[in-house]
Amino acid sequence: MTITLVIIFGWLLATTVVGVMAGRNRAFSMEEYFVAGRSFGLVLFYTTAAAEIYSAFAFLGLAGWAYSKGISITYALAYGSISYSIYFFLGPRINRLGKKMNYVSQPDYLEDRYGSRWLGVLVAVIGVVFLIPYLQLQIMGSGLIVQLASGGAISWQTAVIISFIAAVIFVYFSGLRGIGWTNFMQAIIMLIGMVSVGFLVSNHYYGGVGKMFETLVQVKPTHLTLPDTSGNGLYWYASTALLSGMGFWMWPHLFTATYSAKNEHVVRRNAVILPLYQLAMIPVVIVGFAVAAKAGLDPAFAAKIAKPDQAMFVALLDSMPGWVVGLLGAGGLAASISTSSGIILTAANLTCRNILQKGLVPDMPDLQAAKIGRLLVPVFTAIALAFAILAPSMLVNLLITGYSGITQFFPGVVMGIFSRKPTKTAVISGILVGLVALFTYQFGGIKAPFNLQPGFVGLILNFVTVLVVSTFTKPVDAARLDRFEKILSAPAE
Amino acid sequence: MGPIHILHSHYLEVVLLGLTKGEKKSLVFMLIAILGFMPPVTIWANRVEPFVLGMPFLLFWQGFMIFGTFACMAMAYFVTEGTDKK
Repeated sequence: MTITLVIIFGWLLATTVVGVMAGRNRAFSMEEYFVAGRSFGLVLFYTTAAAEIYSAFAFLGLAGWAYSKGISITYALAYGSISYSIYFFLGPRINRLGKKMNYVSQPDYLEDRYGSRWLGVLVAVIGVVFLIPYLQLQIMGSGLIVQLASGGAISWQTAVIISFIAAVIFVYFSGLRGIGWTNFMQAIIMLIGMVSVGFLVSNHYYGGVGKMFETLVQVKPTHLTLPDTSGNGLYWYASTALLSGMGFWMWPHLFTATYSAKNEHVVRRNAVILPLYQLAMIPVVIVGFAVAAKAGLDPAFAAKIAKPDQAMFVALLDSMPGWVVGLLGAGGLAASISTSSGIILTAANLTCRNILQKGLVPDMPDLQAAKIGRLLVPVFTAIALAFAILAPSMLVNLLITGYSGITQFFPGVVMGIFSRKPTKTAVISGILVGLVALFTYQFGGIKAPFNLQPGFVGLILNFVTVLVVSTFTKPVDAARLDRFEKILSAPAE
Repeated sequence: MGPIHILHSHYLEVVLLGLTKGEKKSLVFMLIAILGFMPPVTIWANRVEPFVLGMPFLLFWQGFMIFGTFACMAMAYFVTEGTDKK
């Protein structure tokens, strides 16, 4: 076994042990398992967020996109600012509601706010439908990282089976608390990897970032301004950044993470420091550019990159000693496992809590529902693994639309907090209209106006639908509205 | 009743459940953070030259705006806390 693999699998073992230890001596309950007893302080919440934010995409997709398409990838820098500045106002309220009403999932809030069990079930089902392909993507990403870092010595199938057995073990035993503690470790190695890689590769090939860009301007001038080599222009960039920014906290696993913070002050302070995480993406984007410059000058090097996603690791293997590749491989694996573990837990949570307990079997006790949720952890992992290995391209269509689909929850969530008017019929219609518009544009062969993101058009129609339908449908009952208003307008504790 | 009128009577009068005074003041910082990444600012920033810190200008601008967002949210935090504690 090479030094690279020793480092990668050593790290995997260490995180598994930490994850399992984190949950020892904790009484099993629904709140403990799914939201870590609402106990995370500033640091643990910050690193948990980092680990959920950066997935396999941060190590494969970012560099790959910069390499093959150009600077339109930097929408990923922009959306963070949008989503965290909205979160400053939204996050503390979600945390407060969770605490007062004992919510443990995203649909818990929506069904209670609008007094509709079926809205809860609908949101849970949509959540699971989009989470599974996302999980599959993470699984395939982590496999690819290990396969590339090992220079092909380990097949990606073997790598994912080993990695995800590890993930299932700590998620099963420790729930969100295990994820929180492993994420703390994952965030550190991941950030070290992301930041160092940008300078290492540019320095090795060009003797500095500045020289690298001077070369790239000569070789690929279209890579550095919008519209870039892929044709994505300023309006594509703006609408994609807005869509992703609004959608970010709508992902069920990120929404639930907000409940895990100890109090709303932790959430608000995090909204201030979270934007800084986006800086770590810049070096990775720079690696992608460095590879593009190198590939433009050296056709033999370019031929080694079969797919854009491989760009970063091809460059690393070409230029760095084994232990550096090992550390970066561990960082990449950390990024994808930490995101996956949150997704696995959340898919189980949505199913046991909102589809089963609240939807189909209303008198099921919390403890029993939570136990079923725990059993679903290995089940969902196995399903996503099976898709990844047996039918890797089957869910691709759902993946393309995942972010846009999830963002359709935004109007219901936000207006539920800031307005008394929206009705349950309006929110349900809005989500459905948004999804129909999204799928029509994405797969119907119709181009959205101004090259806007299809999901963005869906979101606008969704908002309009909620506004219009609310004017003539039955309002939410006054007692419920008063209950929410009382909690939301009370001063912070 | 025109659409603007409906929007107003149904939403604006009952909107903003509990945005505190400090938060209302802080909304401007959110807007600055977002607008830094939107046209027309990005139309202006969409250029290669001048290189700053070795980076083409558009990339540098986005890095700068990330710090800018952090600064805005820090301001928002102090303004909100300062106003609402009184």
